[in-house]
Amino acid sequence: MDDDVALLERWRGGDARAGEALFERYFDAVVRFFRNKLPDGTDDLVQRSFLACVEGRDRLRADGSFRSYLFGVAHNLLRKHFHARSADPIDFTQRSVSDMRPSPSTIVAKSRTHQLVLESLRRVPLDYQIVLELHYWEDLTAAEIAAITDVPLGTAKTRLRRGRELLLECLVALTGGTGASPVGDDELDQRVQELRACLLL
Amino acid sequence: MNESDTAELDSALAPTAAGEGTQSRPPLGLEYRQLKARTREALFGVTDDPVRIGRFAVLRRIGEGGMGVVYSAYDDELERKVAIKLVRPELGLDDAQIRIRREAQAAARLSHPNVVSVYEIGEHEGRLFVAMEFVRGQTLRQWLRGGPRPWQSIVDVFIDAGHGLQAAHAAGLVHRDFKPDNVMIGDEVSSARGHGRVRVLDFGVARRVASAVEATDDLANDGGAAASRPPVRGTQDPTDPGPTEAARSARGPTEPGPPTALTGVGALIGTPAFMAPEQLAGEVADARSDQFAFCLSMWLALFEEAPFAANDESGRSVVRAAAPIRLPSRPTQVPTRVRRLLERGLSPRREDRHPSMDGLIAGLIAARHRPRRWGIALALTAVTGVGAGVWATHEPSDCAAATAQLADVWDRGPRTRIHLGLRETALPGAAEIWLDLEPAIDGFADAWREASGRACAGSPAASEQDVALQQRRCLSSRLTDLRTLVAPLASGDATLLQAALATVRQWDPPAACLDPEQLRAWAEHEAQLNAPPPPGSADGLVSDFESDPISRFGFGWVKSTDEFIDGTSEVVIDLADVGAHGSAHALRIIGEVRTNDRAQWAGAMYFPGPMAMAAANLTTLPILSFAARGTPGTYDAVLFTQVEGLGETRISFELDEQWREVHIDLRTLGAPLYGVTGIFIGRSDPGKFEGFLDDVRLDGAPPR
Repeated sequence: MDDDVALLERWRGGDARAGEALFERYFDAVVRFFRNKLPDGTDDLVQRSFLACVEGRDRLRADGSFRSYLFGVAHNLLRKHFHARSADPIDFTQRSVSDMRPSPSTIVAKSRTHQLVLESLRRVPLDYQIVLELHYWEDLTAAEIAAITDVPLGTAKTRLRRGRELLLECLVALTGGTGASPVGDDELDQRVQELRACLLL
Repeated sequence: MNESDTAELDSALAPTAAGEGTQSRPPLGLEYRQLKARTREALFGVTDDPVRIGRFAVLRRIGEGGMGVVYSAYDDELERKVAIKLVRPELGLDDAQIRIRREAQAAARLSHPNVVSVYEIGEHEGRLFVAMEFVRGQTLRQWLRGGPRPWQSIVDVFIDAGHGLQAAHAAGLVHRDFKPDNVMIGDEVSSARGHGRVRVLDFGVARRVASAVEATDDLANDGGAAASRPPVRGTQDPTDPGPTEAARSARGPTEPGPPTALTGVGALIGTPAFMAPEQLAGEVADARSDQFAFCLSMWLALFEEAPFAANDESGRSVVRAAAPIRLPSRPTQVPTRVRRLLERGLSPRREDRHPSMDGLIAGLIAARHRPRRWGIALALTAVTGVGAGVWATHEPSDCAAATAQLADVWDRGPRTRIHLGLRETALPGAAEIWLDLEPAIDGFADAWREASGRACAGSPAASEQDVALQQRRCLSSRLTDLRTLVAPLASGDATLLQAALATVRQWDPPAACLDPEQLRAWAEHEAQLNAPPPPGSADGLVSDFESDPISRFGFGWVKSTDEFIDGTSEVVIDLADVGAHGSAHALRIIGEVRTNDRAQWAGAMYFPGPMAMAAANLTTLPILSFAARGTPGTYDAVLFTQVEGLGETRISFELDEQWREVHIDLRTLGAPLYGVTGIFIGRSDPGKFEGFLDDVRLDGAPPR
């Protein structure tokens, strides 16, 4: 996306209109990234994500997109945000958003099923939630996700697969843990994708 | 997710997917637009046009409740700040909207200083909004959390809020969701009231929304058959853990879902914890339902614990119909009269509550402003040997004698005894408390000396001699209070010292005896207490100063000179002989009676029916043991304390027809032993004392 990279360079050079164009393009994506992970305080992180891009001096990789770069920045900010609130190191492959910030989601989904999926996403460990949301909501490839989260491609792929399993387990647990998941394996992908729309409301 | 899926997604990734574009997107929410505007402004310094709701320019989000989000906004036309409640989109159903609108319009016609004014009702992108008076201040809940508040202030605030409810009820409006979160206290401080203006919020809006949605959900479920209601309401059952917070928003009106733990519209909006039983049962709320919520809020504010034993899983106290009132477990300074008013308002059946807020408010005002209750403390000290003795032998006819009495009560002698006692027992904490207590007593003694000096100054005109004598009597009684307080302190019991400290601090200054109005109140009580015994009786029933139709009992104290002898004594008096209420039968007194100056009294209660009563000076008896039997059930021992404001403490135990020993460690009740004046033992019945015991003996005396 040469266009984006060029806009960033112009923004870094002081062209606010270029910055506004980027902002217009990616604001929603950044909000979506934080929205289901922090019940409040999204403002600050959204703003800092953009600021970090314009203030950054690092050049984008030739093959990298601005979008991946922006998500990478947001991802780092999110981890720092959680670390800053914890005395002990947090293992994001173990701890979920729901563990760390047990307050309820303020997102209103359009149906109970969707709400359950939304809540389940918050209950899988953060590293998995990030991968799942980026995959389903931003249509990112495993390779792009690997770059954003700074893990090997194999790990990103494993997280996608394992994350999906964990999501189904959470759904079952949320509904009492006895019967089958309220969302069938076959319709899970669809339901998660449908959630995308409710994140900006 | 398998590799091929991923590959498919990889390949499906179109370059344009990144840009959100602006094409064919549903109108986004206010939240979103505000966030975007804020962020844009922070990044680029560009200010978008203000986001508007109706003609109001939104300033910022100031809160969120079950039914929607509240924003502060500015009314450009009238140039004033307003608060706007934007009803949640899932509540924006046509039917609900109409009802909300109708209610809000009714509320908008209501103008009262204790009600937040509603300015305008409108629609914003398919969502209903209510524009109302912007109150700079805090909610009652925040105010209560903002620090310990004296009971008087709490009662004052609630009286004001109660006026708001009264006005609304008079206009035919029912609030339906009264709770501390729905009462605002303004920041403006009125010197007369000591707090800002109190205003009740959200009249006729909150619960109407809930019931509208509930009804709509029922329609969605099965065509509105009433039969669908119980399962939906099932989650309103306070004993049910109810839906999780996350699940609160799990319901959309379009998909009610099965009645699992994740459903339940009643819990979605509104505050079941404050709702009256009839509301929980799905009946139509009326003004008496508001009264219940009002009393529950006030009870929690005053006693900081729930009046009902039922708790839901999260530990919140919730109402259970017919649950017995649980008396405060900690000592409290709240007058019993206030508590009784609330108890009535908390009756499970609305017929049993106050007929309207008017009676309740009037009662609260009276309880708040009546002169300090000399009653209990005086009544009890008056029948102690101490009180009566001082009274009889030192009729304060002259000032010198009065001053000498002070030296007797609080001088080097008593002080040294307490010092020695503290050193001897070396109980933890006692010495520290003493550091505060000693100067507090000194202060009282000084004030007493000063008031006494003023009372004695000059020789009153003949017309005022009665008043002068009464003043000295009043002062003398205050000295008796002090003596009763000081006497047991040498035991070094920290709890006792703490109670004594609390007591001294809340005593009226002795100069109150010189205030004509307060003196009159005191004298009236005194006259009651010292009314001559009815002719022909051997022992006088001092008074039946507390008798009310709710608890259906009264009590008085028997002053006896002859029948009480050293040691545990049992006296049975036929109440008919002493002129008590005709419905009462025998009065049984079992008490520790001594002739030394520490414990020369016994108390008793009478009761419509056979009963038993034990009384003793419990400062020397921390464990109350007795043998008792009764009709099977739960009984209560109610500990009365002489110290005004410390009130009553109740403990329950089980009895049946077999004799059994009951031991109650009074120290575990959390009640200070100081000033315990008696124990009433009776059958417990929700909200009442009723029933009887066959017999009770103190000191673990063997059953007969």
